[in-house]
Amino acid sequence: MSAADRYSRQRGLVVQDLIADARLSVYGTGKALPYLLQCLAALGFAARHGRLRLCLADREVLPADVAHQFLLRPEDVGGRLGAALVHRLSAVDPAIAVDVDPLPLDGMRIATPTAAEVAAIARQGDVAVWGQVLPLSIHIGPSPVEVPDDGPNVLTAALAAISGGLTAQAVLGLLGALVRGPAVLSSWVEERLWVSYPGIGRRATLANTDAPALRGLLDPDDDGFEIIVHGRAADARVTAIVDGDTVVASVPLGPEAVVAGPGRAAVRPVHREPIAAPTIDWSPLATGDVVLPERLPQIRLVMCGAGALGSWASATLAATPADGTVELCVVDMDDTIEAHNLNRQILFDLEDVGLPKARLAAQRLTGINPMVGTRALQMVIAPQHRDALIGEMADQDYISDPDIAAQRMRLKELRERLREADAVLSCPDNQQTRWVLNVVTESLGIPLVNGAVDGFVGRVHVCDPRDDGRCLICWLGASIARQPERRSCTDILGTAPVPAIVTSAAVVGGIQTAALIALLTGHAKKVGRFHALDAARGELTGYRAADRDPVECPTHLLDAEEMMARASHA
Amino acid sequence: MNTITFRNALTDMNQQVPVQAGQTVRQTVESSGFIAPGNNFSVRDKDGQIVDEQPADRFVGQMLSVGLPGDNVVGGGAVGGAA
Repeated sequence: MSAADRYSRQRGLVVQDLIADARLSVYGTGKALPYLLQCLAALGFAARHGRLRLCLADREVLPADVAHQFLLRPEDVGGRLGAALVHRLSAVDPAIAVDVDPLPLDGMRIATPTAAEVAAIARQGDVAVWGQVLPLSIHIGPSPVEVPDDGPNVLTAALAAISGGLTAQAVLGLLGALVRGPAVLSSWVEERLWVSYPGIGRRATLANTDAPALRGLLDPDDDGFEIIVHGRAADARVTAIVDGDTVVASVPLGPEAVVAGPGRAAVRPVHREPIAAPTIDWSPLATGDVVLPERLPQIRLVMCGAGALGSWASATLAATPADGTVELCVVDMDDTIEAHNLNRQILFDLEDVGLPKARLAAQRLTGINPMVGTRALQMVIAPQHRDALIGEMADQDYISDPDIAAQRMRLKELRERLREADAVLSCPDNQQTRWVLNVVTESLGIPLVNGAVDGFVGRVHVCDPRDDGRCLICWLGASIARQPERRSCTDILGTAPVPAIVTSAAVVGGIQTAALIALLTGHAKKVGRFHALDAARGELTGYRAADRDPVECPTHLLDAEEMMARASHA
Repeated sequence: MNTITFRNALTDMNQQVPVQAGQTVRQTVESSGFIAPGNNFSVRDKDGQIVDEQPADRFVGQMLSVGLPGDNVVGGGAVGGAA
């Protein structure tokens, strides 16, 4: 796998060589540290000429170090902290150059301190950004806040992920690595063709290689099919799989059209001047006067989407200590993990490329916390499933098509899981699925915590019918029922890959988990119902927002019938 | 008088605003003072469609929701698509 594959989805957002060549020293061993390091590794930090230094005292890994996070593992306890962090980071990205030394490098210095470490780190000076985790909130900024150490609670893991993501984002701004304007997303000028052919997407998946040749995926009977460029057969390669029967094939237009590549100067996009770290203070709660438990109660959840948001939301949930079993049903439609998932989907690493995504995500979550009981369902959630999910599902004696029979079994199981669920985490890549989930959760009277992210912009909606919170249709309008377009790893936007980056995923996924935990520990009346991230501007704001309109919102379920009819004709 | 009712999506505050001839929805919001000067915003109709640059007189008598720009964020994971 080439670095180009791994970072392809963030190429339109950040200048990769600035990140790969950066020198950065990190002070402190606060709860945000492992999350910050995971974000930096996923970004490709110090993967070329740069270096990352952990300015740590050389001490043993304590049980407290492995709690509320999922970079270090329980078996690291008793080993040396610096060595354990370096070892685990190298698994995220083997190319990262990272060492441990109390003395900082020349270059940027940042801090993720515990409350007890703030004063000592501040005395060393020149810290460009502080990422702190407080009992009920996070603080990011060029100056620290001094607060007493109240110890971790049930929100700590989620807050630490948000703090780590925002701190890594601040580093991108400080480096001047944020792209402004157009970016070259491909190293060669090409023609992209959508090719529809029975089974071609499935064959491309089975080829299990980067960019398989289009010709090799066709039946021998169709040997006469050729793409001709300048009078010669072109070497068309499949660069994206749309679905089982459709792929995107890239056709090079010839060496004279090359603008960057081996032996040529790379094209660096126009990027912003370095910007100072923003000051961000954020909490999942609209009011802070709450007392939280240290551990989760027994809960049952359904999470739809195990991509960027789903992996961060579920991993931070799994990293939260629990008194009872956390039963999590993971639903995802993608077949396998791809190289370009690795820049943000934190549950997976290099060795996982080509393996089934939903099943592996479930395994990883149980590995993070054995109290998490997982079930993986690889399936689509589409408007036509609405009736089966909210109504009765009649038994059918015999279904001859094994694929349809299996799909029906999965649908039936999802229906049962939803009926048992305390809440639904919504992390899909399209609005139509969100609409189905909204109809289902409104019908069942359970909370829906919805996340969405495009590039540096993210949104979280906390829709709890028991709290009179607005439903997703109140927030987004009825038209989401008619929007099947996907924006995810398997899709392209026009002729370019959909931009996606780990910092936004960590923040939005962490917010989803923090809001969900606040709801499920009895604080629905105080939780912020809407959270807006604009990471490029350094803004994260939560709003309690108004209650649902009692005149308007009940019609949203009644409208569902009409919306589904219109969606099926769209 | 021809008016549009604007609703702040975050606070639920409502305001009835007269429509001036030739104004877009965005211009109507700006001239009404409903949103503080310099703040970014975006306007949606009941269906959820963004109508910022559409002629305001097209929405006379309706309620429009004024919220943050970029609320049509879609991405996340993968659970959708054609079944």
